[in-house]
Amino acid sequence: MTYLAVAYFGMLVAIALWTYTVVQRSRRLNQRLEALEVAMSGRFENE
Amino acid sequence: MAQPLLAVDGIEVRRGMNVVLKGFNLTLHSGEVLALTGENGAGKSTLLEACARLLPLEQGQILHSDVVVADHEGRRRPTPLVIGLALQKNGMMGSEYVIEHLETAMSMSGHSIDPLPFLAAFSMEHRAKDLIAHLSQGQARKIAVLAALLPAFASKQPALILLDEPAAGMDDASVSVLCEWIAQLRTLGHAVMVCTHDQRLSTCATTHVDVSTTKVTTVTPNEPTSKLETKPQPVKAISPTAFGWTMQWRTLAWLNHNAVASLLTLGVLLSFGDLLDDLDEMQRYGFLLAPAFAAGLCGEAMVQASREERTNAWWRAVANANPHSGILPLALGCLLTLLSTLSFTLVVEPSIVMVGGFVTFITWHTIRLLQEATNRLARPRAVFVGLLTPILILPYALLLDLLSR
Amino acid sequence: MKQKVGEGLLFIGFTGIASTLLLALLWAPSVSIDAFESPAAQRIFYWHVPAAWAAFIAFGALFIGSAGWLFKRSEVMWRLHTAGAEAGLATGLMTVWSGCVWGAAEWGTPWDWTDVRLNTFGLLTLLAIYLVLGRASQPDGVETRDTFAAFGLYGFVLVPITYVATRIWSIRHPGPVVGTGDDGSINGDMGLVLLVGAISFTVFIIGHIMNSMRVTLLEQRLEQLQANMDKVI
Repeated sequence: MTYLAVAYFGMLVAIALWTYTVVQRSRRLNQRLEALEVAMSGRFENE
Repeated sequence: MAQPLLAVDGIEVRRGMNVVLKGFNLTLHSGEVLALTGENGAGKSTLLEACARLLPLEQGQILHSDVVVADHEGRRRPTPLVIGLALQKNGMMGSEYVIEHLETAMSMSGHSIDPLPFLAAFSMEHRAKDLIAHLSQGQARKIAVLAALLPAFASKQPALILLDEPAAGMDDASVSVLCEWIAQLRTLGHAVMVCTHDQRLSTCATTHVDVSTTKVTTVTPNEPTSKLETKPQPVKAISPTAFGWTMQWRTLAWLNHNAVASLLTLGVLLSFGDLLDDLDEMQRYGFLLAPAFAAGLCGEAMVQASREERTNAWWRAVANANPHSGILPLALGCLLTLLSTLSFTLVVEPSIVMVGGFVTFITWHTIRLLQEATNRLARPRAVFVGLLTPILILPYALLLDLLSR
Repeated sequence: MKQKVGEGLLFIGFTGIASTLLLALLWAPSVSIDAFESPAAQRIFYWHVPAAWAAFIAFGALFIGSAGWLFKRSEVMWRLHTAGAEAGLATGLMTVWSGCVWGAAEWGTPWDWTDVRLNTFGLLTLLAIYLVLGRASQPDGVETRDTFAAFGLYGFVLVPITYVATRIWSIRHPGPVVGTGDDGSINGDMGLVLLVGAISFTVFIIGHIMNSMRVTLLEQRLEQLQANMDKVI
């Protein structure tokens, strides 16, 4: 049972990490997009 | 007017995520030379490759002599025309001989002429028996262009010649010779489409088409200064399989790519010692057939080899198929299984040897199809086709199960 | 808004999966030693089966997305293809890995190369890995999309084979236990835990697919902006 519990928790930790990376990717991309949009609008204002 | 040799009917073609050609129409008749001009990225090469049936169409269709050879629904038919093709890449492997490549190209027309006078005109007759790998870039380019023109010179029916920047890297004298040949081909009734930035080549054209603006200008071309006399002899077309065999034997690619893996497998199994008597029937067959299976799992060496200078694209355009090894895997599989049965049992079992041959053959060509499916990718070598090879392990295991019953 | 919904579903699904784990370990009834070699390992069933179910959903999304791109050139369908491949990778690996652990305990071997269901499922997982890694190595374009969508489309033929495999070929992998009529029905409490697991994994995988589709959309927007920036500079 101990081994089973360890295997189960291991799987749960793996899913948690996977979920975290998916959500983080989405948030990081959002931030990059916002930064790029700000940079582009700033450039057009200066021109 | 006679029917067009080539008709481009409302095609739309994408490259990457960009629509390069949209609603494009064009016709090319026998005796016409069409020069495609335009700025970089306008779609000249894209149009030429679409006409050679090398690119999928999002819309429209391509016709060769009134036969739809490619359309937007993915249908692709063999061309009824003799095609001469020179892409920006030379379309030939370094392991081919100069004269061999020219004869292969001509054989697609069903006829052959003496290529030496043409090589002499390009100052290359002394290189006829050399490997293409030993030529300079400029020399290789001349051979590639000659391979596009000679099928038309040898052909008894009007041919379609597609040339993409043929003068790139050529000296002035060679460009003059090229212009003369294009003029001769025009008077012989062949049709030529040439993508070029070179003003000298534009003088051979009957029509200029600016791909960016779709502006069509009719011009008066230069006339040929001499008449060419050729004596075409009938020959059998060299098939992609025959070419694949030749290259496999010349380069011993099968040894490096397939046999080594197989022999290593055999070696590892032999290192387990005298186990065969302790195994059940299924395991025994597994041992005997494993080297043949391993050879097949490595796939077709010609797929990667023919990516050199887009040789595979050249073959697809002129012969409708990629080069491959045909029944070589059957022979190799039989040989490897014979070796394995002798190594383990000291007895020849003909039925097992035949099964081994078929195992290698089926496995080899299945992996080849998976490899060829990635040919359109920008970086085909970066994908792990090997991840899909286990698709064959289940059928192999089921075969062993069947044999053991 | 969609981002919040996707993340919400992921979180709810994850919570449900964790609950399934607890229920499976602490509450689900034990099975008889006569029916199973390793009754303790049988509890992996509550993870393995819902993960396989979620994997089928993911591969279904992969198929629909692949077909939608190839036949309709739909951008939304391409995003569904990429999301389906990633979700299939995650759930496929979960199913295969949990199955191997269970198999090692129950059968004495983690794998059987002659079992049709095991192998076809393993192939689907390998296909998902191939698609995810392959897409990451190539520039986005019709060539890449057509190639991988074709693989996704043809690979899907393995899904019905995997599903019916135990009905036709029952070799080592046990046959179906749900939805077969009188034979093969399971105990009420086991069924409840299985249902919780199935719902949790379904919610999780839908959230995962929504998130992945959003990530692909953001990547495309980023590329477009960068291309516009290149033209301006």
